[in-house]
Amino acid sequence: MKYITGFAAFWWDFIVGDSIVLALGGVGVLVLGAVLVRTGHPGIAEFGLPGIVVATLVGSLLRR
Amino acid sequence: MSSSGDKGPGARCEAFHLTLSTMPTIAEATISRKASPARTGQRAIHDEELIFQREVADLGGPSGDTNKRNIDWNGFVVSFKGVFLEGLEVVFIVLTFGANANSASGPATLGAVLAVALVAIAGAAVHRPLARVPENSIKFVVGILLVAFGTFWGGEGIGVEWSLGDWTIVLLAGLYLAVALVLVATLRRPETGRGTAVGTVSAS
Repeated sequence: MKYITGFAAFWWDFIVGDSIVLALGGVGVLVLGAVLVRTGHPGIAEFGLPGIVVATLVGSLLRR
Repeated sequence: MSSSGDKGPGARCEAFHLTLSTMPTIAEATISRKASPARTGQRAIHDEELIFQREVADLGGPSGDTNKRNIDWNGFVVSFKGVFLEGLEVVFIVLTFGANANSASGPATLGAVLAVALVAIAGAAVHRPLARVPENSIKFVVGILLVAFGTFWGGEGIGVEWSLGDWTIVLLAGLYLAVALVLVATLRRPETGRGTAVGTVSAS
């Protein structure tokens, strides 16, 4: 059990660390981008992806 | 660049890009985030020194178990673990590229071997001046570059066709650098009224 919790703690620390905003933003940007591409809006995704990354970074820093 | 309709190797390559980009992007964004407050003075600029001292203390200090060549085995094992992990990452990347591009195994392997040699030579040549570069500055730059690569590869993985091709990476890096510098300036502003920045340690 100790190894399982240790393993889980490692991944939590690696992915979430001290900012869950970045973790959610990283996954969210890809999910949103994939939806835009699949629904025929690749152009929006091309500009939207960097925009959401920037928003995530700004949000995580200003939230501290 | 590959289109979203690719099957077989192309689709595997997209999945590879997606996987390769997501974790480092999150991890490096975290690093950038941590490095940015440090650059504003809100976090100790040389807190890596404190972290290093704490880690050494956690390890029990230099082992004292040295041989005739004065090798610190604690330091050796910790360094070896780090290098081994990075080396393993290189092997995985080379294997994946080789598997996805049928004829690229040879060039990918050759590239990896040359990279190892180049890094070893550069490390031996400049390790002393490099050790004087503040860790947070390195994190700041590396974080920006890897978030740019992560965005690019993540976009390719989900089927985005970047209009500027590979040059998009340069554009993204420039964008993220500009945003980061604006954030540094913005976050630094409240500190200037308080005199000395919190936790700022003068360079030694």
